[in-house]
Amino acid sequence: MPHFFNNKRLIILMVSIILLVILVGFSMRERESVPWPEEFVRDSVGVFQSTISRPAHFAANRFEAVENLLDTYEENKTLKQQLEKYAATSAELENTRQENETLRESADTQEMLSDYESRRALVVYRNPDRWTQTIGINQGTQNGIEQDMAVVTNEGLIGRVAEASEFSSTVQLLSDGERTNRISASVIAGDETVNAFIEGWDEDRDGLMLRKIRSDAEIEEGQQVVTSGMGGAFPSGIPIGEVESIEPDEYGLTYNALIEPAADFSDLTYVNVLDRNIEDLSEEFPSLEEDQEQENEEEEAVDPVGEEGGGGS
Amino acid sequence: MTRFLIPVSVFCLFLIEGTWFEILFPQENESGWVWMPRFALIGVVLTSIYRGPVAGVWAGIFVGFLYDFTYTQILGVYTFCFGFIAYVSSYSLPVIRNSYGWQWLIIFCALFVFELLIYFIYFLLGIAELSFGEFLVKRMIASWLINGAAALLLLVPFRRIFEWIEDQEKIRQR
Repeated sequence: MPHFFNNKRLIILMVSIILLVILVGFSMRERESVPWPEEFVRDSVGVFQSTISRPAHFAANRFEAVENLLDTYEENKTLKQQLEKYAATSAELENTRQENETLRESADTQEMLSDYESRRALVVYRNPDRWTQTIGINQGTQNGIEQDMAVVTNEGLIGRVAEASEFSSTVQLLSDGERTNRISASVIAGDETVNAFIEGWDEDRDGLMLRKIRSDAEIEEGQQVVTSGMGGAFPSGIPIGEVESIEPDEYGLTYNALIEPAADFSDLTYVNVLDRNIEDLSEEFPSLEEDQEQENEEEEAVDPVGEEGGGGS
Repeated sequence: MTRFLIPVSVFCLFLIEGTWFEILFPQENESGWVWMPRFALIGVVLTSIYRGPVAGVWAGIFVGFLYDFTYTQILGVYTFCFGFIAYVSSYSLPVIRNSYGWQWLIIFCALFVFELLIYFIYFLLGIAELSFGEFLVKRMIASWLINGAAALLLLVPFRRIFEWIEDQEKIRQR
């Protein structure tokens, strides 16, 4: 048995506590970029995680497939009923799309708040202690992912890219309690849209808090909440959830609403990362990517010449 | 080969914890119970029981370091806690080495101290918002149940690994 806490060990303990405080202080502040050792470790672990996550996802999907098979009969019934509505809806959608296109042409607008490119990524891990709600995905800056991009599933918004390394990135889920996790959202209340902010997660009631709603807005339960596209990196029109309850805030000036998220945060396999690069978005995505690659190559080709020139002079 | 066996096995547990466990058993948040797998901690505690405090602390710092860099964005917390737990659980008496019951008890206590440390640090940093009572019920008991069960499964294979390493060392000394 070791002799606990004699002089030398006490000093080591003190030094490590001081180191702990320094490291925590260093990493708690808002970091613009991730230091390279952290990125390196995360990427190399990410390789292993990515490889072993595939069989796990495969197995998990098998379980689900069996469960789905048992529900097939009931599902089939409801789906058949919905199918009748589908034809009408798709005709209407096509109609609206054409109308929208002509209107946009006549208004001469190319860029919309709702424009984005989507990149598919596999979930390779989830933080096992649930103090912070983060997941890891197998796409990084090499695949064009940057900090603060929106991350969605087919059902709706799930979070934002917290840190992007070269080959993997960390996604902070909406269910993470941090107040700085603020998203500009709007409620579709009948004909008008009401803007507000999603701020934080209510632990007790399991829902997102929508704060700073105008007090004269007519918000009811069951109304849809989507991103408004005015908050920087998030495109507009991504479903977040629906209003579950509404109450005045502590000062009585604005309203707070509890939002039930549309997406399920517990079972994630594939997610989409939305890149809202409004500036260079064009109609043809593939050619755009090629252009970008070419540009990058050109830049790389130009750079050394520039350096040499600088050295020569 | 023998030198890398401990880090590799602890690393495997670390991967299982974050990837396999979370994918195969996705948790519903509604019940409020949080099932935190701490398989790597079990590996670290057993390392420091069988191999002494120095090897244990190194294994702890290694896995804590990985934990901090990949899972949490706050550096230092897990590195410190894993290292500390590895040090205080290094009871390498022959009685304990030969008895699974004692080892299991030490793991059980280590889990308690570990979860408590993490909770207090996160509480001070403002990340954990649970009250202490809720923490005890929803996290501590859940952690004991799941990791206690996992420890029962891991005790025998880890003993085999350490015995094998000791045999190898003896062969080399001859």
